[in-house]
Amino acid sequence: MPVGAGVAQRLFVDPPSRRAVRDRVPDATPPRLLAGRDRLGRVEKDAILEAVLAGTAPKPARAWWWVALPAFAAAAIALVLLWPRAKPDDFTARGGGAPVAMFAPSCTTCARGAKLAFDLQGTTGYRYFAAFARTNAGDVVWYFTGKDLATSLARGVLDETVVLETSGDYRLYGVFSQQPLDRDAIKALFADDGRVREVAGVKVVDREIAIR
Amino acid sequence: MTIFRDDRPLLERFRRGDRAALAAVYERYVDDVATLARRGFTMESSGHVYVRGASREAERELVQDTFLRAFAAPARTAYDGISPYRPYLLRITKNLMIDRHRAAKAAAKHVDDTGVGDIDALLAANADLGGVDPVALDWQAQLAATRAYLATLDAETRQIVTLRFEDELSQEDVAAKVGCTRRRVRSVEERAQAELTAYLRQRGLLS
Repeated sequence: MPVGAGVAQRLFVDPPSRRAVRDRVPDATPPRLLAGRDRLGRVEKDAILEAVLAGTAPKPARAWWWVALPAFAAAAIALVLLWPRAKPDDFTARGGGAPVAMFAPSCTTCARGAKLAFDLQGTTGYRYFAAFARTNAGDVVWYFTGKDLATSLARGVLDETVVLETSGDYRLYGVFSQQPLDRDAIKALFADDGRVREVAGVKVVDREIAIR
Repeated sequence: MTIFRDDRPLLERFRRGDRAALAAVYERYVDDVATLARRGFTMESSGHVYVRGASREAERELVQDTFLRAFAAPARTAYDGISPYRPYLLRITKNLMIDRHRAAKAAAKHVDDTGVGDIDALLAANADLGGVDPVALDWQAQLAATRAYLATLDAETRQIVTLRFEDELSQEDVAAKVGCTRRRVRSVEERAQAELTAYLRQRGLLS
């Protein structure tokens, strides 16, 4: 141990944030050796950014809901079964036809910062719509829930758009329902393995998009 | 030119703490902060005191602490969006370096007071290796061992390591190039670092 290290150690007590980055990159030397350059490289920069964001940015929605699914599943099924049925209206299927849920995002390979619109043309028999996206890592970005299609469509396109802020590959989910569903009820639609449960009056449609 | 000039939406998102906006600001200035932390600077106002550049670990900590301070909610919301942002950030780095410089001097004085003697003279004597920089010497030996370690890797791992560390591509871009998942890239890069650390330690090249 170098002379005075004990004193220095007492003077420089690691704050938690600094310890966090050390945990991610245990030593600065190996990544620099692998890069062949003795300066801050991409891997270290990414680790630092991760630690900085963890310490400063408001937390995004996390994929905790896969863990809590059993409880939500029971609640949602009960909700859907026991919810009082609405009277037929403009968005209830007529003439005995089965309800149809259709949606297309305005882009599938989208530029970061672009606005994403939801084209629901062809949808019948469902009154409410919700949308969210999920990354491969399981992070969830909620866009909206409980959009009343009776008042939110203009020529088949939802009147609300979302700004795509973070690059990556996403699976975009559109949830159609005859009753408004909140986030918990929507989370309960998904089984542990990510498959969608069959629930009367609800249809989930998914699409892949990439934000570059 | 400051990153926020003519980009009011970015400034608004930055102030809200939007992760993509913070990441954009970080990417724009991280190299400047790291360069200052590595090279050090001279304080003319204090009689030309030279604040030495940091070690690798300290450099990384300075970069991290600079952005932690600059991205904290009070600093984000207080920034007017008009003053140049780079000098503001580098001022934070300098202040952190000055704080550490003073703390190190205080630590050295404490050692002196306890009878160990002049720490600078002691360190200088220990560092006398005939004019060869011991850090550079270590680096060359470690680099040679790293090349030997890389030669033991399979083709896919070596490609991921090259793209990620040498070419500095993002995990997403490496995954797209190699045709695997981002998770796989992350796992390979973490394993490569851990294995190289063990490889160097076995050979006495890393403490």
